[in-house]
Amino acid sequence: MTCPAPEPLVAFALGDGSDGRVARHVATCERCQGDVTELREVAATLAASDSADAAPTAACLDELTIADVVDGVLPDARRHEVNTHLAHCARCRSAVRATAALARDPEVVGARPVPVRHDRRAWAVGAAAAAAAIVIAAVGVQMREGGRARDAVLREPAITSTVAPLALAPRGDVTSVPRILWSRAPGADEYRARIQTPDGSIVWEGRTADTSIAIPRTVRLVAGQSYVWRVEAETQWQRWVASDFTTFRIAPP
Amino acid sequence: MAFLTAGDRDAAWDALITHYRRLIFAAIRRTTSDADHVMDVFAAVCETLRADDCRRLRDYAARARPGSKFSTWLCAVVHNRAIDCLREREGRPRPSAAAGRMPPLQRHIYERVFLQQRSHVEAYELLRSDTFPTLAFGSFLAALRDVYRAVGRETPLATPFATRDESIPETLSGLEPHAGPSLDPSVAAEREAVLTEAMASLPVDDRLAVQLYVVEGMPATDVARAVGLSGAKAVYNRVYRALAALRERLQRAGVGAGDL
Repeated sequence: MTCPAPEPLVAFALGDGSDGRVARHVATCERCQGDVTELREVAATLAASDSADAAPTAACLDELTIADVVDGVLPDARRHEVNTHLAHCARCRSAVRATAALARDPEVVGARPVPVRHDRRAWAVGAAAAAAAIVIAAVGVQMREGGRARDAVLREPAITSTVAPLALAPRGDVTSVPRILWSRAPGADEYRARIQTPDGSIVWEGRTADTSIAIPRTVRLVAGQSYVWRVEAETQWQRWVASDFTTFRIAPP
Repeated sequence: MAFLTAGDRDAAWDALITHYRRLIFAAIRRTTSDADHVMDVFAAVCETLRADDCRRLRDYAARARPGSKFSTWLCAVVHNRAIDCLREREGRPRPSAAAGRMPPLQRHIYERVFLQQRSHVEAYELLRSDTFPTLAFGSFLAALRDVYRAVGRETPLATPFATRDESIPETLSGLEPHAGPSLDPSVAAEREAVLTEAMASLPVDDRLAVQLYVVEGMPATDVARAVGLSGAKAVYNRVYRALAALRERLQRAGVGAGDL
């Protein structure tokens, strides 16, 4: 009976144990069983002795170096210095592990990138570039609710899908908010908009069949204060689909 | 990174965020599931990237090497900011709170190792024999590491709660703690020192391969790329040699790995 080489034995003992041939051998070989147990004892001892909760130091690796380590593009000239630091710094090792895990995570990898739809010629001329910038800025950063990702696309969505309205304005710092504006949700025949403070207190609510609504003058929005708003579209009877929360602030005078 | 040379930095910034925001959100949600916290981290990431007229982005553009991926760098930035935000929000994790939030596998490991005072390998075999019949040792190691990190490594090796700590719950899921033999803290410290010294005796690359593969639980191919080895086989080989050397050194010092 030939015992497996160290490589498959380590992969079996410390990995996922999925190698059926090694598993069958170990089940009948006392010597390999002893090897597996010893490997696991030392490995568990090391795992238990590690702590990533150390304060960063000036020697800690920056994000670019961490990324270079993960991508395997670190130049040989820096390899020893970086490996030596990593061997001594649990915090940076933890960052390497987390970054590597994110970079090969299908949820993350599959989420990139969103094609930016713009007319290349538009960027070449000032006025058109400004217009494109306004549109992109309007789409801008999407706020999230409930942890569900949603694409911001600049084209009319398919009528067969349930697509949330997109909050367009106001966002960021504004001087006043005479009305709020959003994109149309396919099939929606009514919208309800709500402005609230960041702690959840409702400041104003309104309903309309249009994709914008005027804010009554009686609604007092305080300068320097941030607010969040969103709009919900009724796409079917009693079925509402909401935009993401969007933040704006009344700029101080 | 052509956007950095664009005249309209604001428009370019919006384009960048539109392009990568799904990746950023997906990466953040791997760190926290709290919807409010996701937004906080997203804001922090944006703030970090925009600071000093997009200094970090310009730095990336200037220093990026051929073959490096912008998305990997972005993941590193997101991870760092997420960790910073978590610390700002919750401070250092308290053992009692950490134990209460553990996922099922970690809670079972906590019970076996910390409350029942089982050895690590014994705890693994017990978990496989009842609750987790298909549990791979690699997954056990990763969860074990997280348990120790969660409780903050306040306690000595192998007899974690030998010294009673009021902040640590006496029971978890109704289990009474086992009144196991206490280990003298000075003996535990000495054993930890032996382990540290044994690790320090390894060549740097071997040591790092062990740390990334065994302790961090990274796949062998990722470890090979990170350490600069030829492939997974080289990682397994180094790990085998290194663990054998560690065990020998520990035994010479009169410490069996099972004692640790």
